[in-house]
This record gives sequence, structure tokens and C-alpha cells, in this order.
Amino acid sequence: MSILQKLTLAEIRRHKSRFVVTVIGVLLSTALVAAVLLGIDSVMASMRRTVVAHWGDYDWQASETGSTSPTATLDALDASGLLSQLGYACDLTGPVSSDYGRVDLIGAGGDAWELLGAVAAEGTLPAAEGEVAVYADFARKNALSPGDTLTLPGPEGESRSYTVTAVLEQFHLDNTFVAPAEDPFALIVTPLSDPPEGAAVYYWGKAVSTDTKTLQALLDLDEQLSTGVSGFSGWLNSSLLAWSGVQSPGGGDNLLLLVGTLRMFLLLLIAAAAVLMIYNAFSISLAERRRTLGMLASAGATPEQRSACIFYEALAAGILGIPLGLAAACAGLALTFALTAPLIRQVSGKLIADFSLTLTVRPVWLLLSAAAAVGVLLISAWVPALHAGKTGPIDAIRGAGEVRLSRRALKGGRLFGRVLGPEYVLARKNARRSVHRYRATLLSLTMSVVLMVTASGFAGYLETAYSMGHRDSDYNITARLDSYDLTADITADPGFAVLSAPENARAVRVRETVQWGASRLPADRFSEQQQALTAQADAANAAFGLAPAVGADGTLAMSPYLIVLSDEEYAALAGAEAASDGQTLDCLLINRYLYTGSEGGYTDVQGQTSYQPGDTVDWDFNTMPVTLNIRAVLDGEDVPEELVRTTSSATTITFVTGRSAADAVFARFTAETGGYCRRNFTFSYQAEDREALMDELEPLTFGTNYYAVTDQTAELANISSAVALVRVALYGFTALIALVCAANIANTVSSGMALRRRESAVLRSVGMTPKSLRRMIFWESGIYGLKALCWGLPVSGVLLWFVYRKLTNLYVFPFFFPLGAAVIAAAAMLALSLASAWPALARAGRTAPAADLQRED
Amino acid sequence: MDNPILQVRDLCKVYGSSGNQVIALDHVSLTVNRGEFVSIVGPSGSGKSTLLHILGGVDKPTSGSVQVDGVELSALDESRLAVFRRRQIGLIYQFYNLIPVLTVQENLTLPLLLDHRKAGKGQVKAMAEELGLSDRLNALPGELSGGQQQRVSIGRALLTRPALVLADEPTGNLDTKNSAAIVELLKTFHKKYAQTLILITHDPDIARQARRLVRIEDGRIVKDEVIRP
Repeated sequence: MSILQKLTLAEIRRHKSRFVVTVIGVLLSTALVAAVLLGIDSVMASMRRTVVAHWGDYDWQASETGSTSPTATLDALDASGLLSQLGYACDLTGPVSSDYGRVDLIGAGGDAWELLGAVAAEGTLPAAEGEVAVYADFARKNALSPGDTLTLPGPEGESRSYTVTAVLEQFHLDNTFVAPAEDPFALIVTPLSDPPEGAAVYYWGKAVSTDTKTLQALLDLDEQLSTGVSGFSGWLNSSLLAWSGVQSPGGGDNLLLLVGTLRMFLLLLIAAAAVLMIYNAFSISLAERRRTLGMLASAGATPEQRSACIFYEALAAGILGIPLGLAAACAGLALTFALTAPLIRQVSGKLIADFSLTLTVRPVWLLLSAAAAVGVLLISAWVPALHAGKTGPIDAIRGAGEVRLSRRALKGGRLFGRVLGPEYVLARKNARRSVHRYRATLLSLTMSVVLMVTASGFAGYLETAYSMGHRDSDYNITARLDSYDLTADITADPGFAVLSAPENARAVRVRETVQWGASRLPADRFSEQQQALTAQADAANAAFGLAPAVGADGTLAMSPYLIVLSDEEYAALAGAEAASDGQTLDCLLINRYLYTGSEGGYTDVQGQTSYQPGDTVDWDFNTMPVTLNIRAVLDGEDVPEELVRTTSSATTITFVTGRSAADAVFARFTAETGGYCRRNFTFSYQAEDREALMDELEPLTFGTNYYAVTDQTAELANISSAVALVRVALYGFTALIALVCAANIANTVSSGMALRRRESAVLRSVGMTPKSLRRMIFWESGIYGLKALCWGLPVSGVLLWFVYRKLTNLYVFPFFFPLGAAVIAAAAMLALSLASAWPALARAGRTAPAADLQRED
Repeated sequence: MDNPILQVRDLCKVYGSSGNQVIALDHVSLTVNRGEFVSIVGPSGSGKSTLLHILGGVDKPTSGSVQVDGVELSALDESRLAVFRRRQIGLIYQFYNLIPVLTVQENLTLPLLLDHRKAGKGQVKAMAEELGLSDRLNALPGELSGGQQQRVSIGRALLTRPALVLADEPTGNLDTKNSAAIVELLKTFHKKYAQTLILITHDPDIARQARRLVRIEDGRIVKDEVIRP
């Protein structure tokens, strides 16, 4: 060990607590980097496992319908040398009736068994002609087990016996050969050496490499074969490739871009916090060692040797902090995944069956994390090391560079100084005595405040946005039915009757919405705000070549948006039942809506029109003229929340009518045109037994019309879980960053006080009481916290405003600043200030100043 | 007529624990009258600085009594001792010990600021003029020469007109020219304000400028003589 290394170790021993904090900083930043890299990789790997479990493990697939020479295709694929594994399968019989019900014999050859994940629950996979594997359901139903013989209609229609060698637990051929059908059939799989001519053949392959060149070559081969072979079409399994971290050539998949951007953003954030903290630690170390470095310089140490002293310390911190950080990341992630497993299951349950998030620790990410941590350490140590190299003996003796107060720092703070006393003035100047250290500490703390408040606000917005989207919380199941088939009356469908009054629903509410055709209405009947919004929409629409709504004749083309309520609901709102003779329709005008423009955010448009009860509006109702008689007008707070529409269209007016009146208009339309209108219904239900109601509604079918049932309660629970997961991730990340920053401020304040022991002693010798000294120390660390709040809260507010504007493009809710989070941030800053000042406070006034006055440094 | 400002009785200071004890002061007794200029000399490690720190209330004796202007220092708790120090005692050190983040003006008025008092503008101006620092009031200590820093340190010790000024080798870090200037300044203040001054020095020439010379060896006063009328 060289003398410089020995000296560095001695300095570390001398300033143990500061070094420990540095190591904690390195540990935390390494842990954060590793957590991000391993966490993202674990999610990707878990998704990949799920995709493989559901579809199989292949990079490429193709289908070939009715080739006269499938073997030639196989030869061409083999000869390309692009595939390390190649499997194929074809339907040998098609679904046919047999003694065991409807069955379909499939031939699978090459590596299809492996690529499509064939797993035998019993027996061994068939290998020879005349052997078959059957799926477990089929085996159970027909009491079959390996060794049994099956007699099936063969490809040519003749009966043939097959020996069952395996009962399949899984084999993803069913994704290709089983389509939803009214008459189900079972697959029976037999080995296939060569696909027969004229059969539709499906291919699956594993690329020799997933580099761009090989994948592009595969796509080229697909193109080549598709021009030469009849009905050949090949494509990459871009989903699996993406979850494996491979971008498919020419693929428009944004997943990897999103993951890459997220990873880079988080890493930069962590690196910034870590560099600020570790730079500070080394800068403090430099201040502590200035005298020693000066002595080294006078004894002939070169600048490089003096710089090396700082790098040796970085090495020591890295040797301890990096492995501990990697271990902490693995343990932390494993624990987080285990604790959040129920939430993850709930969130993923509906979208991805059998998804479970497990920790994947690949050495490459561990190495990258360690490399990133080393990079952070080197960057952090670089400037202090350069300064160490420049420190000469005279600088050390004179303490040159120890105080770099800006003019502002020198003169500022007088007002607060008058109120808060000389302790505050001293604290303020001490905090700013090293402008770089002050800024680095302040920046890292500000970052913590911003992260904390923004994360809390973002999670709050997500929750609010979703609860606004599901504000109809009185009803726990909804069904949506849109008629596309205009040759039949959707309301006459037997299913419609079930939807209107299901057995398992306690209460039903039906809403119908109608929006066809526009009416040219006098512009002066609309508010200036509405006219401006329409003009603004025209400007945007002009880019798409759409006709302007603002007419040269002083009219606006506005589309009535009709909401049909039950007669009772309408009467309660309008004060009388709606009447209609088919040509006129009584309605209620809703003079308010929420407009979501393309710029983000929303505008609460009130007083949209000057129409009054008694006025009429001519409407082109699906090409049939109808006159709307306005019987009542609702505006502002009088509009029930559920009738305040949120729309991105600035050219609609909302009307409400009753069911009977609307039906008269629909009846006239059918009578006059002989056809039916497109109608959009939303049914909302209250149910004691949601499952029973879902079971009643889900099987309903309405031909080609759109029909969907949603369990709103379950969806809300899912979203709550998702928001909880987002909170865990955001707060976990923020807490760790805050810890790095806490280490920073603790290091800065306590080391600063340790460095200034002589100054403290002087202050005491000129009459500063221990209480004043403690007050000064508290102010010194408190200034960081207060300043961080002063900067962090407005910055968070601005960031949240942008987030809010983006979110309110989708969901409309009023802007709110997360006051709770701000209070917590303020309390955290206060606690942090107290905690970081604690060591210095505890030491203050404990010893007589004489000892410190006699110190040499 | 005797008018003691400082009365030291049987003062002992022992460092370390049993078996490894160092006796820094061994039953020292001393009385200094108001307005007196006393030099304390002695070899390194004789206990001069320890005595000065105890007189200034920045260190505690192992036993014995120190009374400044009739106040027994050992009877004061930390806070009251601090307040007493800033009002009654001025300390000047070899290494100046200025607060590097405070300007010259702030360093000068520090004891007043800590006392939540404001120095009169004329008072600071007059002091700065006497110290020759009128044009450096807004400078930081790091921007001053050693001699200038020591003058600030002297100004800080004297601005409150304390009962007792204690100077611990104030010229030990300065060249001959600056040393002479600092001693001259101390003498001026001593005469002008009848300030009681106790000065520790290694320099026999400076020591001889006092009215009374005290010699300490091995923690004991071995000589205490009036050398000037």
C-alpha cells in the first residue's frame, strides 16, 4: 500500500461518520440504479414468460394456404440458415365427427412441439406415425390415458387406429387451429414428417440471432417466399421480441421506446441526485484535507498524486457501497414484488391471465448498474480531485478557497437577520460559504420536494381522473349497446328486453343518446365564448379539409346532441312530460358543457346559448326534419352532474327529452323511411349479486351490433389497485431519492460544523451562548429545507399543471394542488433539517472552546 | 490604591486522567488592578495560554477561583458565562480567529450583535479609523493581510469596552513591522481607554513594554514584578 493510500485510509478513519454517509450515498444510488434496471428487466422478463406460456417461444411465424409444395418451402427456410429451430403444423382432417365427439387431427412436425410448448402431463410425446397426443380435457372426458387406442377418421376419410402416447398439459396449437365456434371440437396431434401438398401449413421458427440484420433477413425471406409461394405470409413475433428487449425491424411498436425513455429518465434523475450528494461528500473531504494536501505539496507530491488521494477515497467508498447497493436492490425488489403481488394479480388479472411478477437478476444488468455507479462516483470525485491537485502549501495555510461568498450572499438576508437575529445571519452565510456545495445540496433537496409533491399529485390526479370517469357510482354494472345493423329494430331484439329488465338487477337506468346532422343556427344566439370556441375549432379542422362551422351568413352549424331519459326523469327536470307528434319534439336545453380542446385542460362553457323556453330549433334528424320545442333551459349549477357533457367538439348543443316523445320520432322515421336509426343505449344497473347479473348479461348477443358489459365496481377496484401500485412505485422511488438527499444535507451540515470547530469556539469565546449556537446550527440546516420548499413547491405546481393539462384531455376534473403532500413535504423538510442538524446540535456547547481554539486546523 | 479587576486564587488545571496527568497550572494566584498592563511570559508549555483561556472563561479550571470585576466565573452557568464574556472580556488570539463569512464590520461588531445591540455608526467608524481599516469594512477576512486581520481581532475585543482584554501572543503570527504596529495599537487603546490588558508573549521586547511582568514556568508563577512605574 502506497503512502498516499495509507494517508487516505487514515483520513477516512479520522472522519468516519462523513465517510459512512458517503458510502450510504453510494449504496443508495447504486441500489436505485440497480432497482430501476433490474425492476424494468423483471417486468419485461415476466411479461415474456407470460407471452411464452400463452403462445409459445418463437421469433417468427408464417402461414401458407394450399401450397402445392410445402416441402419446397421448408427446404427454402432450412437453406436460409436464418432459423435455429423450425416447426410446422397442418390440419390433416378438419373438424370431423368421431366416437369421441367432434375431433380434428393435426400434424405437427420439426420443432413445433418444442416451440409451441408441448408439455405432457402423462406419458411421452408421440414420435412415430400412428401415435397421437390428446389434450387433458379430451382425455378426461373420454377416460383416455397413454397406451389407449383411438380410432379416428383419417385424412382420406378412412378409419384408422392411433395409440395415445401422451396426455397434453399444454400445446399452443390450439391458438392456431381452434377458433370460437358454435360446435366445438377437440384437437388430436400426431407427428408429421412432411406436410401434405395442398394443405394449409403454419410455420414457427426461432431465429439464429435476434440482431436487426438477421430479423431483417427473415422479413426479406418472407417477402421473397410470398412472391414465389402461393398464399405464403410470414411475420415476426414482435410482441415476444419486444418483451425480450428486441426492436423488430420496421415495427411501429413503441414499447421499447417507452421503456428506454422511462429507464433513461429515471437513471438521469438518480444520477443527478447521486452526483450532487457524492460531489458534496468529496468536496467536504477536500476541505477537511486541505492542510494535509498542502503539506503533501510542500513535501513534493505532484498534482496527480494529490488528486489520487480523492480518487482513493472514491475507490474505498465504491468498494463498500456498490456491492451493498446491488444486494439492497435485489432484496428490496424481491420484497416489493412479494408485498405487491396481490395488487399486481388484481390489476393484471383481467388483461393478462396468470401474470406474476418475479425478480429476474441478469448479470448484465448488475454489471451495468455497477458501471453506472462507478461513473457517478468518478464524475462526483472529478472536480474535487482536480482541486486537490491544485491545492498548494500557501493555499492550505491561508485557507484559500474555503469561503466563496457571492456579493448577494454577503449582503443579503438583512431583513430576516433583523427579525431572526445574528444566529440567522451567521447560519445563512455559513450555508452559502461554499456556493457549489450550497447549490448542490439545495438542488438535491429541491429535487426531493418536487418528486414527492409531483408524485403525490400525479397519483391523486390518476385516482380523481378515474373516479370522474366512473362517477356514476350508484350503478355497479353497465352495458353498452350500439346498433349498427339498420335492417332490424334493435329494441325488438329479445336480448333488449333482458337488458331493459334483467332478473338480477335491483334498479335499471337507461340512457339513449342521439347525434345526427347539424342545424344552421343564428350565431348571435350563442355566447361570445361559444363563438370563439367554434372559430378555434374551425381553424383546427381546416387542416383536415373539414367545412367550417361558422357560416358567412352569420350562422353556426351546430349538432344537437339528444339525451333520452325516462319519462319520469324528464318530467322531474323539465316540470312537465315531453310531448311529440313525430314532427316536433319537446325538450330541455342544457346550456352548459365541458370542452376539452386539443391544447389540454378543459373549459367549463356556461351560458352557451340565449335560447329561452318557447324557442324552437330546426333539426335534421338523420335526414328527417324535426323541430325541437325548448320547454325549459338548465344552466350552471342547476344542471345535474351526469348531464354535464364532456366533449372535444365545440359544435354541439345538448338537449334532453323523454322516452315516449323520442319513440314517436323514431316511429315516424321508420314509417317514412322503412329503415331504422342507429341508436346508442347505455344501461346502468344496481345489483346485489354482481356475478349473477354479469352471468345473465354477458352471454347476450346482438349480431353485428356493438355490445359490451362492464363491471364498474370490479373495474374501480382494479384501478384502485393500479393507483396503489403506482403510489408504491412512485413513493418508493421518491423515498429513496429523498434518502440520498437526506444523506447529502446531513453530510453538509455536520461536516461543515466539524470543519468549523474553531469558528464555533471563537463565537463562544466572544460571547455566543450554547443556545444561540444551537439556534445557528438549526437555522443553517433549516435554511436548506426552507429554500428547497421555496423552490420545490412552485416547480412542482408548474409540473403538475402540465400533467393536469395532459390528463384533462382524457378526464375532466378541476385542478388541485396536493396540499397534503405539500404539508408532508414541509414536515419532512423540517424533520430532515432537525435530523441532519442533530449530530452538530448534540456536539454544540458540550466541550469548552479552549480546546478547539488551540486546534491547528 | 488597589482596585482589582481580576483576582485569581489557587488556580489549578490538570489535563488527562490518573497515571497520565499533566499539570498545566499549579496553584496560581494573581491579582490585576483596573487599567493595568500585564505581560505574561514563559517557555512553551508553561501554561500561559491555559491561564489566559481560564481567565477569559473559555476553559474551566480543575480547582481554584477566578473573579473578574467581582464576578466569580465558576458560579456562572454556560449561558451566563457567555453573556459575561461578550460584555466584560475581550479576547485576542495569535491566529486572529475571525469568522470568515462575516465582513470586517460584522466581525468587529459581533459581540454587540450577539447581545442584540447595535453599534453606533460613529463608534464603528471611529474604531475602524483607529485600526486603519476604514476602507475595508465590507471586505471578508480572507481578503485581508495578517496584520489587518489582527487589527480586526483587536477591534472586536475592544469595541464593547470590556473590563478585561486578554491577548494570546497577538504578534506571534506577524512580521516585525506588523508586530510593532499591533503592540503600538494595544498600548494606544490601553492608554486612551484605561483598558486592563493582559498580554501573553514570547517576545521579551514586547513583554518589557508592559508595566508589570509575570513569568510562568511549569504552571507556576515564578516571577511577578513591576517593571515600569
